[in-house]
Amino acid sequence: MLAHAVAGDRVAQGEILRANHQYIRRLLHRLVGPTSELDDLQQTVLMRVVTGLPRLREEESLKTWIGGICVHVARDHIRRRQVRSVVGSLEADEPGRARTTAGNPVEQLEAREGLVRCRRALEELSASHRVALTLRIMGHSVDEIATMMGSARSTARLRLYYARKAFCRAFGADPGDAAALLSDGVENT
Amino acid sequence: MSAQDCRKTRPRLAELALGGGDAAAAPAAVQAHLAVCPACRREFKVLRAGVAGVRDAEPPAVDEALMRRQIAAATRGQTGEIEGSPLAWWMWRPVALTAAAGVLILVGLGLWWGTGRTTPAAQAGLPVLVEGELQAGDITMRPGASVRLDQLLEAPLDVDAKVRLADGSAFRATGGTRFTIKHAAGARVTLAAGRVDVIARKQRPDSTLAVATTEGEARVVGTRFSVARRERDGSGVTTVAVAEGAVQVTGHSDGKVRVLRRGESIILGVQQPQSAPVVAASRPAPASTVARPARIPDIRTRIRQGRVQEGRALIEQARLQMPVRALDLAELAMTEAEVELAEGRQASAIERYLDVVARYPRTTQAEQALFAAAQLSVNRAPRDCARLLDRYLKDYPRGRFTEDVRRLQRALEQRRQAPASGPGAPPARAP
Repeated sequence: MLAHAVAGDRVAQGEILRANHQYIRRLLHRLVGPTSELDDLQQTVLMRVVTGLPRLREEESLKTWIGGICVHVARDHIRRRQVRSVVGSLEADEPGRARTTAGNPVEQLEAREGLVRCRRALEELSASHRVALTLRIMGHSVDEIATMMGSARSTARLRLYYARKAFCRAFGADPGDAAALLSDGVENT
Repeated sequence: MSAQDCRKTRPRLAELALGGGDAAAAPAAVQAHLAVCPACRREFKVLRAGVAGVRDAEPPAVDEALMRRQIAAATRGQTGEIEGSPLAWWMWRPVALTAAAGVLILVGLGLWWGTGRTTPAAQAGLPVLVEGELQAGDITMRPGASVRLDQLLEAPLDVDAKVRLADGSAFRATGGTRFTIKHAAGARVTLAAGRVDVIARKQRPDSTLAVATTEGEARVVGTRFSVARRERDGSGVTTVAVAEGAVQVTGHSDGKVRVLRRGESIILGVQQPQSAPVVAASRPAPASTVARPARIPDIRTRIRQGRVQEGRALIEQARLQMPVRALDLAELAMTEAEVELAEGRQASAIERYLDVVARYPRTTQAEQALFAAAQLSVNRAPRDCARLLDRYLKDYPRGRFTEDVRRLQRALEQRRQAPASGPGAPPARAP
């Protein structure tokens, strides 16, 4: 099917988009946080997937490649939103969306508080650092992050290091010395 | 345990949370500190929940129809790949300059024509917010954003919202209007309260724009009309006024279909639909016919008098009529908690109070709700109560209930030290 899609078969392209629709939506949502522009971002990704399919190399994983497009679209969106900082802060500040399924209401409240604080800390980061750290939180390895962000492994590691440092600072904590960080977190792929 | 220990430990907590949140993987010193320091344990818990929230966040569900439209638009909008040019770049310079000028003109035209027209959402057949603001739950939509289908949308009280539909038709929802947009055979705007002024494009016979309320439905035949809905004496009243062209109106109570022409209006939802010429088509209903909205004091009076069901009904009514200010919504949410309390559902009341704290954190009601939740938890869940009291002192060190909170803390501490001394709730002033 992939070969047909690359060759321009619209039915096959549609099938690929359908199969990855939820993956794209979820990844975008986690990268950019709650936003009213999610549908638009998703549409942009879908269009880029279709137009970019002929450039897909054989050795590339389709999912990682689509993830890379999501990462680029999300990063552009975060940069734009940082320019429109007022809008960004308003959209980020929505504790109501952070409802969890935990039974105890006090735990729910704490989970919401944690999510809001976490999102605010992520908002403090640059777009690249934020995307890298979010991907790491989602469980991607450094190699996958490097591939999705279109950068060298060493660049991805550095981004993660500085992102962690800024994230901890945003939580009111100093992350400790660099060596400890590199050995504890970034290297631990 | 000292403050210095906490300062040493805190930096490692964010790291631990980012690394998966397994406290057992922490260095021994951190584990030892966590074992004796409740504040750091709580901080770690909050951090871990936050990171897990980001990791597991689920996007709003997307319906099948939207997905189909998005995919169709993406595959339809495919453009040919631009291959590497065999010509030197300078040979393309005049073409590039002309193209750049063309792009500038197009951008200018686009700005003049209005924002949002060329967004991917518009291409996918979604309505687009052109002006003003809309609230969908907790999300605020701004110009250029695609408008969600099948979801209750609210225009803030002091801002009109202009929405352009996929066929080029547009409508303006005045401040405070609540409505839903659906897509079946053409767009269908379901108006819960407020007013929409519609400017419709020429419709296809199989796909016409309609504005529906509980009392009836106005379907586009002509071009410009207004639909307004308000509550009167507990039941809805819908007014349709036609400015240009004609509109086909169906009353749900009698099932009659009428065609209103320019300058005509109709009121639906009263005993007999009344058709009369309007003075100005953009003024849907005289002010004297508007029902007085349900007020919070009235709701509280009903609850105090034990007329809880009436109070609940008034809350629902107020939700339809009230403005979208956070203060009002927070106060309304407080009354919902009071209803739960009046009906003896303490756990639900605590949940409602904590909902106020989470959703409206910058309101005065949040402080009151936090204290109320702590008070209600004293006997049910003393540990939760202690956490809420800590949080209160942290968030409101000079709050209205600080003294009461400290008294509750002392009482809890005494009870912890002497559990057999009696289970009665410590005295505290009701918020």
